Amino acid sequence: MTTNRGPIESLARLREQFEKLPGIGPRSAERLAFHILREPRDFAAALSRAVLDVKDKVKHCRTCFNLTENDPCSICADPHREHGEVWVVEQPQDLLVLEATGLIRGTYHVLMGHIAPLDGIEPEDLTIDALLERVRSGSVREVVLALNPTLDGDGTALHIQSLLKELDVSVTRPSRGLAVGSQLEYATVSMLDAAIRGRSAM
Amino acid sequence: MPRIHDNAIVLARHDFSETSQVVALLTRDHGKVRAMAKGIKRGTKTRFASGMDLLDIGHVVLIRRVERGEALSTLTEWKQTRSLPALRERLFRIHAAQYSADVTGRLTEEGDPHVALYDALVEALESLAVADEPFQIVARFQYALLDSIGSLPRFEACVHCDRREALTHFSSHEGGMICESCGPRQTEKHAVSNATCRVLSSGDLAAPAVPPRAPESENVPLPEAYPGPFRLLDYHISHLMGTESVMSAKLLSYGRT
Ligand SMILES: [Zn+2]
Ligand SMILES: [Zn+2]
Repeated sequence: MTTNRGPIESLARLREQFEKLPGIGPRSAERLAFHILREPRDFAAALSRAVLDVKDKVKHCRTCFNLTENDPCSICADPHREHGEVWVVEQPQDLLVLEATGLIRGTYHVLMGHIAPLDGIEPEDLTIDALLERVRSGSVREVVLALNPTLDGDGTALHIQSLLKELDVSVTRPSRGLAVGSQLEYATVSMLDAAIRGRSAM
Repeated sequence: MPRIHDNAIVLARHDFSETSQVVALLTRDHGKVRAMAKGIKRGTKTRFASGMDLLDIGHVVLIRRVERGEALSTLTEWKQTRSLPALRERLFRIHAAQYSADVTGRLTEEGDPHVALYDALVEALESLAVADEPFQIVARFQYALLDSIGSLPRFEACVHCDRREALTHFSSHEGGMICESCGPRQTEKHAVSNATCRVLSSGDLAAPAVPPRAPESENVPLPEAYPGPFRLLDYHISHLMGTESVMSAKLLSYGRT
């Protein structure tokens, strides 16, 4: 089926692309498309270059799976970080939230999601094997399971804990300062502060 | 449009946008309802007093869309009324709760109320939160679910000849037990142990939950006998759903590792 895009085909195409973005409805998409049309060509060129650069240059750190342009990422490569302490988070956004508190001296491990069997997401879809490999390599002494305090997040933490039990590493969780069922991403700084400082063994 | 106040359990939730989710709820008086929960993820709106997680129990206010097929209602208020943090402390408890939510979601019709089923699911979640093993509680719930939707098989006698002893098999297709004489001519069947047969025909799973019984009473199944009833009821539930729950195997691996 071909859609009739009207007389200004390219403008309609741009509007359709914007509409695919989260939180952008048809009206906003149209406004954005017209805005770009009005701006100088340089702006459009910089925008499209920035969009492509994100796709071409950003990759996952091979150690912690954080998003980075350099592998290893700046956190993994930093000799002043505490490499024996690994904070396990679900998403790169969660890493940014924890990092913004300035309270974490350790490094991270991004799982790229959580186990959600009812949604077809199984342990092997995440970076759990790579985490176990990191721990087995011997330099990690504490793993902090900083997953979202949701049912799936808790289930994922318990699964990882059972796998780490056989290895020589201490497993802790941030304290329950965060509301059960909420997401790390939306936590306030004071909530995070309390949760990070008050972590306890699993 | 009708505004509904009800108690509800969250059976499923899926992200719809950055801030909104589509949730499947089992309400007590209005059956299963699918609803759009706008802005619930950020938790900034006061009418959503708390975040909404899988298997949370709470009070909802919904605006019901015109009841035509699979209409999507709108969730306007949510307040968690029962918190079960201990449910999340052991993996088998989570798996058992997820199994219960999965089969409930798949075997109930939207807008078809089953008060007893709602109450049974609340009871199952509360019991699981303090449970040492999953099978006894889940088997009770499976029984209540099948009873509620009118698909409870016949356990006390052979479906072919009414014989009450030597019940060696179960057939989902025939809807009940098969005795050893009728067994050979039944193609779809599942072998049933004596212990499992006793539990299912005793009516224990339908009776109100009682604390563990005194060991001197005979014929009373020990908790160890419960993987059998769970497995058999799951066999029947899988038959009704046309597929097995992904949670079955996870639950059955409990105790083996
Ligand atoms: Zn890294
Ligand atoms: Zn018979």
